[in-house]
Amino acid sequence: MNTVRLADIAKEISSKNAGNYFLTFDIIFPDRETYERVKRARVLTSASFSALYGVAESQVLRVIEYDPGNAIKITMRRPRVSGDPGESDVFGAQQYAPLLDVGVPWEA
Amino acid sequence: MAGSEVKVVCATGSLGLTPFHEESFFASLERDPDAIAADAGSGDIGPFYLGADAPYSPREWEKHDLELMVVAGLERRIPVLVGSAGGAGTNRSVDLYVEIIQEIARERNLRAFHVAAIYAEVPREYLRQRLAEGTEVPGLGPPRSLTLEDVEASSRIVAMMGVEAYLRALEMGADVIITGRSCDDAIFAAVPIHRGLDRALSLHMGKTIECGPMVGTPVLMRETVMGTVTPECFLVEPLHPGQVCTPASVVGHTLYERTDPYLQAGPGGSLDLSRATYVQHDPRTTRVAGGAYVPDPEYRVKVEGAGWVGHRALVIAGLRDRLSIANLDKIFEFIKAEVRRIYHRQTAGKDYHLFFHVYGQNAVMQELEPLKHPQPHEVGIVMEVVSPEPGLAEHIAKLAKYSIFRANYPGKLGVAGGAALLADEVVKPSHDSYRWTIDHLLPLRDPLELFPIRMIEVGG
Repeated sequence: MNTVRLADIAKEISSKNAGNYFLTFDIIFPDRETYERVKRARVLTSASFSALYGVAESQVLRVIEYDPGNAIKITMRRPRVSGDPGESDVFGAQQYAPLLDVGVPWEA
Repeated sequence: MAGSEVKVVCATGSLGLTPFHEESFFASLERDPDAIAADAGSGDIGPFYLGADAPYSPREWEKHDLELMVVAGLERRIPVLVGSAGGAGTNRSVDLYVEIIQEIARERNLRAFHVAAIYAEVPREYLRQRLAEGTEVPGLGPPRSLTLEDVEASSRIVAMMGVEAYLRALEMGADVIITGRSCDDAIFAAVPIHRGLDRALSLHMGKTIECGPMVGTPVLMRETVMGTVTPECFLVEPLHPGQVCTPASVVGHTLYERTDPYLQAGPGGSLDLSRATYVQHDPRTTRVAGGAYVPDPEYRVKVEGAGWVGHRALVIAGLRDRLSIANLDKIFEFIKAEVRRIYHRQTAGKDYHLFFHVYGQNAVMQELEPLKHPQPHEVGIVMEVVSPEPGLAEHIAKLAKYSIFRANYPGKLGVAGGAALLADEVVKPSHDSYRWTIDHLLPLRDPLELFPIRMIEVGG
């Protein structure tokens, strides 16, 4: 089985604050079929997400498979509150980067 | 059905952030709207603006947007509503917007009209009393309830008003409403609710258009969109001819900046969107229905506080020598040891904070960075010092700058100088460092008790 990367198949991959204490990640797919294949592959779960970001699974608060939007939404607690001294991404806008290269098993 | 629908124009996704495009705004006026509204605020903008009560956008840009909205609203005799004035929604920002509107009225010889200024700052003493009464104020962000220490650590506190304050101002006959910190959906939902339309549809419409053209596709910025609430549904339509609203673009926006696309919590209740439907109404417009309003047992508002941490000083340096890049840990240890040697009476983490941001390595993601051993050919280092003691941040930054230049590590060859300094002088931002201190849910006995309304007659 081949593997594709999320960056190859998603329409949108982004991160943003959801309030100042949380980061929310949105992965939106261009159509129902792509979305369903990613869902079936179980590559975006709280276990895989916490492993990718090196945080305890308890810090990953929600993984929502949002059928109406062909989207998977993941929310985690920020390791540092937005704008705290030493914190370096006030909007949380660049935290999605590792998601680009998440592999998805893909049958041709 | 005609006459029972209410059209609300969202002039711009963020008032004053940059002046909005006028063409799509004027196009919206051709559609005979019932209200003109815009949100000026965000909680995303960091704790500084609230804590320091500092303006987020230049006054000229805010005046540009306010002038177009207020003049158009008065000409058409429809309400103009602006929420979260100045970004953080402080009292000073509300007064500033009122002052700008007074200036516009003078310059344009506008007829007499009423501006409602609704304030949202929360006095520390009020929260002290509520805590003393034993009120439980659960954390929304922090996983614990509000304490007296949080209150005392706050330089400035605001509460986010719900739609009730706007409804009261409309009842009082306001032509223009300028509010402090506010829920964004309320700004747009107020007029439809005031006219008797469904609260759920109106709030859902508000949440849908509050970011303006972000709800359409392709995504544009600072363009006008319109939401039309009817007894059965609402319609959302962009006014820029190059943009359309599709079910996909509208549904996609329900994900933006929130944790749950099915639930929109607000003061007094939540919007359950699990049965919402989104269909293409015409080639440019999406039709939305099905949201349900679920009242809470008690009326709670979000309270935000920001507190002063200290003065800030920065040193910006680049390293290109692979030997020094490989020894960054040792270099940073050397710097910290030097700071301890000179400032042994002060405690790191209390009297001062010293941070090393290594761009090219892990500055952006910090502890979340999965790439543990990057091999950049050069790195950018921002050494950030924060201290409440006058002068200390600058002195420690100076010491850090000197030390990164002179730090020793095994095999060092570049003995003449160990870093490329962007500037030899320490960079001292004119802005101090603040942090979020309060992000909690406060129960209110009366939805208006924290939001005094001042009516001002302007123009004429």
